[in-house]
Amino acid sequence: MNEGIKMQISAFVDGELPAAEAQLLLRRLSQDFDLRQQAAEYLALGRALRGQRSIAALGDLRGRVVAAIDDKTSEEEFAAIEAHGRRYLRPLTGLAIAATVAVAAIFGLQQFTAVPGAGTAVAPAVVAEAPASESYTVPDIKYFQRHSQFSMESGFSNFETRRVSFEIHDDADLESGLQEIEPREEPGAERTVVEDQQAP
Amino acid sequence: MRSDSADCKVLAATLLAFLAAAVDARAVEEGPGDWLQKMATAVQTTNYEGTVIRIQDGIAEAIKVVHLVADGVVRERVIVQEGNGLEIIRNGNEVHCILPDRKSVLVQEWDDQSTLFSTLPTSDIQFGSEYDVAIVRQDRVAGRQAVMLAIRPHDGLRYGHRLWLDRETGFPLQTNLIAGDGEAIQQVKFADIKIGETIHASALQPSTNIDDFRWFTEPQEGRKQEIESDWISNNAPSGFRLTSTHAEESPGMGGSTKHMLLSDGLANVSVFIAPHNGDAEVRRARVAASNSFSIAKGEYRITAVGEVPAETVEQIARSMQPK
Repeated sequence: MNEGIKMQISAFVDGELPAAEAQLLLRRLSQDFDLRQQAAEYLALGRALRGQRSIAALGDLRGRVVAAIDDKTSEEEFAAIEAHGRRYLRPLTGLAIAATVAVAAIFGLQQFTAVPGAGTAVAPAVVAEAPASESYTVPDIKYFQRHSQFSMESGFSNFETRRVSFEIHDDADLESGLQEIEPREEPGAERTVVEDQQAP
Repeated sequence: MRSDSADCKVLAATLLAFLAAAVDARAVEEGPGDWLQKMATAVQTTNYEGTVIRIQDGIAEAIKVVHLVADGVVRERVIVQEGNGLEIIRNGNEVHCILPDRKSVLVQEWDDQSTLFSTLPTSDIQFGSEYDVAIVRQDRVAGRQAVMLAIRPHDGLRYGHRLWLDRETGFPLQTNLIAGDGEAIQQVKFADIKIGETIHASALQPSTNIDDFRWFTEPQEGRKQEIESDWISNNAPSGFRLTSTHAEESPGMGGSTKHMLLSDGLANVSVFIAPHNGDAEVRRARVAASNSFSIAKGEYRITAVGEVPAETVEQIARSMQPK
């Protein structure tokens, strides 16, 4: 990704990109998978370096996307993403939908689905962009977990499967299917008296 | 007339060029199998701290990772920097998953060596019939010199891998999972990394105060027993062979379930055969790069799950027949 695109994306986030350029940028992002990946990486890294978990003034950013595309479909798309999270992502058809989905993906979908103070801050990282001809269902996570666990015993496992299993727990009531236990000593606690480890 | 100083510069430049060429030659001479072995060792023994950018379905997230191995015990902290801020603290096999927004800690047991890099191919894999492996080029990732390896499947029924291994240590600085159309469906890439430096104890402490959090664990795993399989796949993709069959009685698995594991040496697919509950719906699902396909057959529901394309789990599930 060249510096010009980086500057355009930064300007867009800051609300400083002229409307015509914003529309061109969104069109380009919605059509170029590699560019979306690079932009997503660039923005995630920037947030990580600044220690931010979310984009400041997200409402403004959303407004800028809707204004640049000038299509009510975009607002409806954001509303659907808010309601259903990643399960909702659709094939990128039509500029309004394509640009909205692309922006939601690039800027971090969770940014758009997060509801401050609510318990379901992150939708499970489940189904994305299912082919229109096929219907995906909510995964039966126990099979993914068993596969991951068994593969792990055979030398393989999957970070994402584990992570999704937490989020599924997170999505549902933790008390169902889990057993409450007494707090344990944090695994790191004993290290407070251990000398710092020097790498080999 | 050239000065002594100029001669020295030319000599130094020549020497450096020669050394660089020698290192490049060594990187290639070592062969892809040697690099995979080096990577496996590095993942198990390397201390590192850094920021990982993980991209899946075009959605990126940053993850902070601290990983320390001391006396053979893995200690690790992984914090997802976005969303709910999931935090994983590991000490050996005991893993505490902290969910800050739920004020909860989930305790689990994990057996492997690394949270991030547990799906990497190993040097034990027999390449040739289903995959080719090759050193592609020298590259640069996270400011370090890297050797890029490609593991390419011979068909579209399994994923390929691209691995960028630190030239000095063999540590995987970037891994891409590649679909049949060449698109990276999953990318894990260090944006910055410190390898082999001192890791302070404080770096492994939770970032959240969990004093008033509730603690949970998962119910004990059900009984599991190796059995002779009475089912067979009559049309699995080439190279997939049955490696084990177990009977499992696990909570939530709907009575006794047969679990068969098929592998082509790199990709694994589990097939679960459970009593049919009357639901005849065909179900497809996806979690990250893993796909599942579930279909009812007679008195049973067959569910295939694995880190392979959707067509592969469907073909395997549909191919299962009683012996």
